[in-house]
Amino acid sequence: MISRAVTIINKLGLHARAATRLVNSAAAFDCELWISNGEKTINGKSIMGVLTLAASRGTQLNIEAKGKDENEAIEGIIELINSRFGEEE
Amino acid sequence: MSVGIVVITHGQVGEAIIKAAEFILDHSLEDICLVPFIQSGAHPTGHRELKLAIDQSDAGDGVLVLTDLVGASPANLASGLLPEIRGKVVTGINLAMLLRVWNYREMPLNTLASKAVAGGKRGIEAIDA
Repeated sequence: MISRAVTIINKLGLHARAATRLVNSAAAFDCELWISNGEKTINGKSIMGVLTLAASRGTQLNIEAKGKDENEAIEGIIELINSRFGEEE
Repeated sequence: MSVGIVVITHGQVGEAIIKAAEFILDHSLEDICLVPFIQSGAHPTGHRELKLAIDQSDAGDGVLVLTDLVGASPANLASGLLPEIRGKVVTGINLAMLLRVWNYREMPLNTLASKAVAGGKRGIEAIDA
């Protein structure tokens, strides 16, 4: 299992469409994926789970992945977050 | 095959929730059958339309009917059809419920109904400062 911290940087935070993009990206990997905001940990492949993180801009999340493609999964998710989910700001 | 999904609500509630879910998911939910509920005077109509929609949506695995207010006419219409159909009715539709149902639509009817209830509840939180 590997774990990385990442900060939400897009203006709107982890809103519904961004959450959908994250979940779709996570679903492409076989590994298990969990995301934590403080003490709250959710399944990174669940839209409702991701939404209940209520992560606004500046929120630091911790991402954990466990499985054979865990490295690719974490890199992919972090790249998506750092690309502002494809949003302009 | 998968469970058919039918939505019947007051006014434009169901349509608005479906459109919002389509915006969030960025694709069409055209497999979901939206049935207009018409309150004409004191007597609601739509029994025949709802039955037809349920029958057409049932590809063999049954139909999940999502509706808004428990005890209200759309929910009563749907639950009144239960003896005639292979289906389950879940009240209290919200966006969280619909997203959950859509994500698990390949699951068996009873499981999907449970997912709908859990998903709808999960979308309700009091957010502290």
